[in-house]
Order: sequence, then structure tokens, then C-alpha cells
Amino acid sequence: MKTYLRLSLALAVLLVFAGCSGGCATLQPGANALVVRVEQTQVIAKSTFDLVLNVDNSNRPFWTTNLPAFHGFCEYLRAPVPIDASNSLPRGAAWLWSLDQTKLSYKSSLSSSNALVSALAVVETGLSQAQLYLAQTQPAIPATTTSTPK
Amino acid sequence: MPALIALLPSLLAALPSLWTMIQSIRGAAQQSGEWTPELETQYQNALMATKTDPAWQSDRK
Repeated sequence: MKTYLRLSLALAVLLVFAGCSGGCATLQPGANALVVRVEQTQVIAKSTFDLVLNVDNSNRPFWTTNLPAFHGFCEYLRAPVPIDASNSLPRGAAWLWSLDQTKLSYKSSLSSSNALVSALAVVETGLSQAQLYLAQTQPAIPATTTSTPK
Repeated sequence: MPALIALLPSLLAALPSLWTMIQSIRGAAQQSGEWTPELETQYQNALMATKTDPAWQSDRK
């Protein structure tokens, strides 16, 4: 079991190093820093929600039993929310859709930067919650695999 | 051990999503300008695709 956990940790560290090597880029002249920040958040939030929901979806009964708060958060992200008169999206995607539409309005000078910052705050809150719940899944693994007394 | 075996599909299923997330963080860090209209459309299509993605479907369905 310890060997397995060490291997998992080594793999996670390797993935992070492989993925994050490359550094940060500077903004091109004329690029709006707020818009770029919003777009960076859009991409990271979408992939984080995808990761959280795919982990839960791979074994929903397991997570419902062993980490109900995590599964409950996933269901919260999945709940359909109307985005206009005739369409709805899962809540996580609806947050991102709303942020995207607000960004486009801002770029067209139809909405203020305050509206964009507010929409960004909603997504960042959901993103940090997702990261917290994702972190909680890691203690759940040894807790369930070492439950047998030695 | 049975719990670990039960969890294996979760761990395996998470790997591609984890890699995608790491790549997206890397891509975001290297973004130097605003999205092109093509990227904007691609992103909106990805959001719309969540309506039919099994991972995004509620338990009640």
C-alpha cells in the first residue's frame, strides 16, 4: 500500500512538473489585462470542473458513500440553470457562460468592468470550492483503504 | 484492498482530466493576448457540450 501511495505521489509530482514547466508570458501591447485574466480563469475553471465531475462520475456510489460532501458539490455543479429563455446548462457551465457573456458585453462597451469583476468573483468562488473538495478526495483514499486493523 | 480496487476506475478516469487541467493551467500562464473569435466559439461550444456530457449529468437523470 505504501509503495502504491509513493508511486501515486511520484506520478502527481511528475505531471505537475511536466505540465507547469514553461513559465508565464507577458501581455501583448493593447491586450486588456482584465479580459485576459477572465479568459485564463475561464479555461482553468472549465478544466477543474471537468476533473472534479469526471472523478465523481467514474464511481458515484463510492463517493456518495465515502465523501458525501464531495458528491453533493458535484451535484450542485450539475444542477440545470437557465441561461436564457429557452436554454439551460449545468450550474458550473452556466457560471462560465455568464462570465463569457459579461466579458463579451464588456469588450463591446455594453457593461462596466464592475459587472465583469462580479461575474469573475462568482466563478473564482466556485473554482476555489472545487479545489477544496478535490483536495478532500485525497484523504478519503487512505482512510478507506487502511480501514482494516493490522 | 477491495476499496482500493473499487477506487481504481476513479483514479484511472481522473488521469486524462488531470492532465487536461495541468495543460490548461500551463496554457493560461502562457496566454499573452485576448482570444480570437475562433477560440471564443470553441469555448462556447465546449460549454454547450456539457449538456450532453455524462459526467455533467445529475444523478436524477
